Amino acid sequence: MSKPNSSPPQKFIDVPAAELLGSVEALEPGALDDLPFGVIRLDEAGKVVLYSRTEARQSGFGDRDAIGLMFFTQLAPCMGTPEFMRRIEKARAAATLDITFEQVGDFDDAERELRVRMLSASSGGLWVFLQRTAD
Amino acid sequence: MRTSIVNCTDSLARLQRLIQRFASEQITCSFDIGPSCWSVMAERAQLDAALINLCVNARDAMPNGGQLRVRVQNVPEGSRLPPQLPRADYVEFLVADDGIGMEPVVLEHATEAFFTTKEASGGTGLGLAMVAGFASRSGGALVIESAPKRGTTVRLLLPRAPESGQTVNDDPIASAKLDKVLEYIRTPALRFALQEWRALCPAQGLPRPIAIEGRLAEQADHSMVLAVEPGASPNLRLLRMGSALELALGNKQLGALQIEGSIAVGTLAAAYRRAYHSRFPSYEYAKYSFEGDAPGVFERLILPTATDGKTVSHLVGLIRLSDNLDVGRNDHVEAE
Repeated sequence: MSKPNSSPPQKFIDVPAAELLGSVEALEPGALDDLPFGVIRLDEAGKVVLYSRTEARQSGFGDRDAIGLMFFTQLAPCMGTPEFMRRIEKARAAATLDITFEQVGDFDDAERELRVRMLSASSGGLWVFLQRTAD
Repeated sequence: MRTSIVNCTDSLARLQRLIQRFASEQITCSFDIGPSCWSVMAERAQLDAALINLCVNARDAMPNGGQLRVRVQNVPEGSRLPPQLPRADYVEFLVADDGIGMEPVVLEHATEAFFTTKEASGGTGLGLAMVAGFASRSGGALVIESAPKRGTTVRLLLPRAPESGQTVNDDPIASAKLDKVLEYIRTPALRFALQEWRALCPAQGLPRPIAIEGRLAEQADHSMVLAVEPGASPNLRLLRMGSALELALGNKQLGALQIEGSIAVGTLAAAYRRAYHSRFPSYEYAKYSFEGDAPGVFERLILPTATDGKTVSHLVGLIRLSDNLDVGRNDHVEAE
């Protein structure tokens, strides 16, 4: 039985990828629901295969199936260029993708601060960690 | 709960009947509301609760009757203020009784949570602590003077609400949010842009696009301007794109901008709609770490502007890409 080296981090943004993966992937699937941030797991085709309860509670996402694509192609027009997509694909294939995203200034929305970390999962696919701060 | 502009005259008139009802017959109530009392910035329900709390305390301090005095008056800038308050206009809510008063040692702890002298009558020990907390959260203060057998005078000071000439900087909520956005921004040029936007915000409105563009002329290469046709799902037209962005993003056609894409978080469509609907700057940051390469960093600040100073007519977007994300260039050499 492998145990995590340390308890899962409260904040996932600045934690080195290996450490974050080591902590999260050692958890039983049910324990992901207890993390203070939302967790989504995508398979290699980008399909949502896990959606944590925290994420379900905190999110207003109607469009969660799109989540695997949006940080690659829709953040800005430049993200859709062939060269950028080639690098994303290369990192996905090598399971070394690591994207950090932050948004602030959503004035009238409770989800006014948002942090997202998208990491290649050790066994294929992607982890998406999401944290929202109302104030 | 939301802070809003609260009219003090209305507030007290509403509470006056209630206070008179719960004061015993032996207590004489007097209400004195200054003729042209300013409004305050506060949570309305919290203000009502605080005033009721103070009046209940005053009543309880006069078991044998006495006089309960409630007064609201303006405290103009330059008046003597508690040391923790910055110079500004305030409104003072005074609740005074001539009851049993407090010993200095009691007075010293009066605003501490769970400190009560009312065990017998069932006080929670939270009343004054909550009023003091409300005062400080609202940018005001609570001042208590008391002497045994001489009664207690409590002054609740709250900041005056800005008149209609309010700018985003005078609105404590908007101002705190802008500070938050400033904290997040990594690139000094974008931070400068937000500060300029803030400085140009007129009374209850938005800066004019031409004014923002003028101030940010040095960043023109990294900025784009979009015209907005108002609506629930606004149509955007790209009017100008800086040369650095054109180079990085490829030759983007001016004109109608397709924004029909997903409005899921983090998308271009979501960012522009958010700035349009909220009339508030939007900031995003993304870092792409690729094995063996320096990370690519993307930052976008979108500033809403209005030709009439009110309705969003143009969005000024400032985008910064690290060299490593400058991937639209055709001179890129394919790695082996």
